[in-house]
Amino acid sequence: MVDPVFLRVLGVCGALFLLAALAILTARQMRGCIRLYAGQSFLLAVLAALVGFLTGSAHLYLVAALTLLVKTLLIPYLLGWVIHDTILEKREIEFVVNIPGSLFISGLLAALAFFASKAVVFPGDVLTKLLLPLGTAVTLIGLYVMVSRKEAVPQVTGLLVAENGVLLAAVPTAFGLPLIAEFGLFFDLLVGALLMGVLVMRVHRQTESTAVHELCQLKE
Amino acid sequence: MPILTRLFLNLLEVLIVLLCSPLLKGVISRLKALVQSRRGPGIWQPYFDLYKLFRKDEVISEDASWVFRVTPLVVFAAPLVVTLLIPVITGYPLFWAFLGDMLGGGFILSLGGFFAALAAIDTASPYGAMGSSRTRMVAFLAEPVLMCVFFTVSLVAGATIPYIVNHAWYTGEKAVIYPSHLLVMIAFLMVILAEAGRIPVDNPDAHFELAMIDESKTIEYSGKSLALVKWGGYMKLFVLLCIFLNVLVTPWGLAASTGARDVLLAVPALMLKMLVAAVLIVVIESTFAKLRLFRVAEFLGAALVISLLGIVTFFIGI
Repeated sequence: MVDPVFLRVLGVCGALFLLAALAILTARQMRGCIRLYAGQSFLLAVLAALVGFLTGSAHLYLVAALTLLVKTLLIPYLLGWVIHDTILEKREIEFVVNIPGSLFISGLLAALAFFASKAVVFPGDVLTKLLLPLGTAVTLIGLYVMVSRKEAVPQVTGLLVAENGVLLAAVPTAFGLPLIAEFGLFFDLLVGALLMGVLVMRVHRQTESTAVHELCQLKE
Repeated sequence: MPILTRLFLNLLEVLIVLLCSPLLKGVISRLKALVQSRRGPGIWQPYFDLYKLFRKDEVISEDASWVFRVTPLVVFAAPLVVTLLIPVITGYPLFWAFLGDMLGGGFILSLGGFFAALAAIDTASPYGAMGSSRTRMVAFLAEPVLMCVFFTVSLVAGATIPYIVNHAWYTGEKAVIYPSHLLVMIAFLMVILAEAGRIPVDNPDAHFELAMIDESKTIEYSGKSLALVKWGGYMKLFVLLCIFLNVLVTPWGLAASTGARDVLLAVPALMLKMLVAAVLIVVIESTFAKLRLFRVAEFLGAALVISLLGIVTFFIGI
């Protein structure tokens, strides 16, 4: 049986994790987006470590440490370097749908995730019951962030948020992935973020813009 | 418990709200000044201001109707009536506890806001009308959030009477700090900032007519009426924070019995909680910029989504 105090701490961290996703959705500044992402990843590390402590699965500590290293330090640093000295650093992000509309849609997505994952959970499994809906909701919100941004770099943050959500959903259900897959995932993510960053920089140098809707025609 | 004791305690609560609310305002301004590396006015400054205003003459426009004259009294009285309904220092219901629930308290507070908005239009000053239309905008965006928060809280506690809600959190058999609790707390804090006219919705220290929201309602008032309106504003913030702290966030530290020791201990406990809340407000006000008017909708929209998520998480039971 899980100690209710731990469950409460998990609940608070989980709620903050969800709030961080909502905050990333409403953030207008790229810098703020990256900082919020780092904060969310930190919460993810705390959650993973707590679940590891509760279930006694030691390799979740490793997941937490990797999350801390890669997602709260390396990727934010990388993204900061990508947008450094570009116009993205100062200008506000453009949205496809305005912020109240986006918030409303993400609220519906979260509710959908809650109801959908309620049906999946094995009765009596308190950890999964608490964390799976939050992970699913954050995944959907991350996907929505990807859809609703007009620029390439903010879209990358959407992908990263979605990935955070997937990891949170994986932590209580499968107690993380097998270790080798976990390593692969983190380095994939790192390399992916790096590649996307470099690509976006090249695109920016070529076309003076990373607005996605302007990139659908070939230039001579 | 004898009726007289309960009456006395109720009166004591009203007195605390009446006398301590300017202090809260003074502490907030002083702390804010300190954070911004200024010396700032002392914490007793609001009392001096009120004293000065009460001794001054009043100028009322010839075209002002009775609404204009009545409004300061309504604005002043509304928070005091709400005080009767909420736990300020005692953890058990007092004389008028069952007179109205949280929704009733919300209605009484918004009655004050309603009269203030009417009075601002009454003298046909352009700034007053602008301010009142803006406060209405903020208020109608804040209303659904307030409803959602109250619904979630009353779902958890099984009642809408503030004392019972406080008791439900306090005894702790209901899930205390769970995702829904946290979400509702944050949504309620955002609404308090909007309702009390603080940053990021409104800047309480700015006196630039075009940018004011809450202050511009008082623009036509002077002398005693201005003092009453200002004092009412201080008390509104104090009462809202009382609900926030004693009902939602920290249900501990209230007097458990009518004994003099319990009651006397509850007063410094309340002061301590208020100090923490003041620090929180100062941190928010010093780190955020005031939002542009049409971004207030985004701010309160976020609060609404958060409170809705609070309800959903409660029903899912996570």
